[in-house]
Amino acid sequence: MRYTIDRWPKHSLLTIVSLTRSPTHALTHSLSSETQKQKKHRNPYLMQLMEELEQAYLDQSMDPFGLYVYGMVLKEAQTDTLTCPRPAHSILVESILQFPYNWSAWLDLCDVLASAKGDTAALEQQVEQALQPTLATHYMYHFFCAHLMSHHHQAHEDALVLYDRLFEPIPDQPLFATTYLKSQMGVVHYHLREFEQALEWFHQIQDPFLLDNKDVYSNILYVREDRVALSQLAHQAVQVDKYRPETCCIIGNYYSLKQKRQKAVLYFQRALKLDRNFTSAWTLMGHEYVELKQTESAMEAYRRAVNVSPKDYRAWYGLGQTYEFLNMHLYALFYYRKAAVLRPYDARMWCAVGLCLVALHKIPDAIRAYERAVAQEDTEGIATQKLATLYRQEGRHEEAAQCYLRHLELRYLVTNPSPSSTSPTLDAIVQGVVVEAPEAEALVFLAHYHISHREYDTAALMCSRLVEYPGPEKEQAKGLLRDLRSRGRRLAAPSSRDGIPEENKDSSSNFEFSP
Amino acid sequence: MPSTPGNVELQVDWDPATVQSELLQATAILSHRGLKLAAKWAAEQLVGITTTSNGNGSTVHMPEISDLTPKDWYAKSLMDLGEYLHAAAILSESTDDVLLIPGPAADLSAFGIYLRAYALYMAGERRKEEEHLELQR
Repeated sequence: MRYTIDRWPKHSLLTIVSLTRSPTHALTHSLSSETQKQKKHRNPYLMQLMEELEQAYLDQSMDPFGLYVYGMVLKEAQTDTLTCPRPAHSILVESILQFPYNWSAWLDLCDVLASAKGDTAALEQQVEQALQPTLATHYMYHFFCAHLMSHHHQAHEDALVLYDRLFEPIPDQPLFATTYLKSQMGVVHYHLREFEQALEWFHQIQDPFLLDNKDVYSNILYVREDRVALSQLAHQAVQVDKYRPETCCIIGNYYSLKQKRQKAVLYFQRALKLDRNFTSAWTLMGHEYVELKQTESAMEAYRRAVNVSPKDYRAWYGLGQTYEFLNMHLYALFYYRKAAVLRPYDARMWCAVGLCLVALHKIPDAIRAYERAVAQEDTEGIATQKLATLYRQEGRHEEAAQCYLRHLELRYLVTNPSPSSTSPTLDAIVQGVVVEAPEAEALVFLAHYHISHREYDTAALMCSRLVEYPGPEKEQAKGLLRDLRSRGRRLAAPSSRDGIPEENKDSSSNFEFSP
Repeated sequence: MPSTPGNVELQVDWDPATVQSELLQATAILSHRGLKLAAKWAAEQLVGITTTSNGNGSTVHMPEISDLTPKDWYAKSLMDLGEYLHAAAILSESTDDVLLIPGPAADLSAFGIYLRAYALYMAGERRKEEEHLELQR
């Protein structure tokens, strides 16, 4: 949930009335009229307030709360690009220094830092320097830093360190064992795609009436396809408060999991009627439109998402996907790159970039992208396999062989997770891996490769695995095996695996590599 | 990005009893000021803290829950009911014209200055929201 400042309650009577009156409003209609209205509505008293509060500031007649409202007003004015007598962040900092317990002020400060144009690092340093002398060890400052790191810097690991310390500064003596902190832990682990841990934290909350961040919880349940838990959560949320964006998103996820896409869209729309700036709902709605093959609506939804929240990588990635779907690879590449910048440690982003580059025939760049993907955790082995084929295309056979082997290992580990300290043996990998088309391709390549390096036993190992595989590689493998056996009869010597090659050293291959 | 708190060697000295006392006072103040979300956040942290001893009182200076003038009280009660424009008007110079809110009344306390500004801001936010909804129909 995007936590906004103390302001107009999210589900006003007005919005509820409009909700019940127009439930079947076609989304495309309302969406396009939304974007046409780029002219923003402005708070009509903004200018007057700025003048009056500036005067009060100069008269020094404001307490920390007056300062807070002034900071809020300046923040709004800055968003509307009005000229301000002084920057919002300085007033918010003053308010905080006088009264550090106003979480809304901290959040607004976060927002100001996040949406600053120009040199944001310098601005952050300024704020740091103003706050640290008195507040460096204050828990409120730590909460603020954790929030800033996670929400605006994608520095989730760093945020975890801070939340850990707030939760339990002294081992076995929990301090801030609060529902808020547990939710944040859940959210941060979610962003790190550590779903098990995220779930553990959410389960610790034990307050079914608390709806904050429960939409993130529902995302996790959705990803894990836990229909039962999601259904339970949805029913609970509806009982507690039907008219909250979190509830609507939970229900949207529920219907989405049941493949009832139109209903899901309806509920995400409702979430947005309740809160236009609920980024999650825009992004999730985009996903539904993609499933419904309504590409234009999907693009519109993702665009709204990135407008509201430029740091939401899922929306950038979604835009990339829709353009890819339209075969507009240059555009797709642009958007995938944006997502990759936000999550450089996520292999999927680099895979997407790589895929586009291949489609654009920029093979060397594609190779670099896949190398980056492989450097992150490529647990499914997909990036490794792609990289292998690219290396092979470019004639980089050594690297190709390494990649193909690594791919086989990764695929093997998917079904046979081994303890971290021991790597599986080559034998184990080859015998145990599930062979489908990519693995067959790998095995054939490696067979030829090992033959060219006179490692005939290894080559034979590869081939024998292919004998059962129902595909074209089977015949190739059989042919190679026959060749190897006849070669074996001619040679009385052990294979080069013993390090004693008997034949000439000419290692240039006369064999053809499989296509 | 703030660097110091990420440094795990930084010594923190958060005594549960003190923290509890601070948050208790802060919640009361925020609630009194009508900053509902901030009050909720502070109270949410407050209930999550377990401590055996009662707060030995924080040494941190807390603003007093101010004494309010009759006008302050009236305006605050209007705020609580969502009559934002009315609340702001009470704390402004008198007028017959509802289209314009005059400047702040002459003898406003710090609380009055705060409340009037907040009320006016909220009135504006409501207007903004109404315009948006009207255009959607």
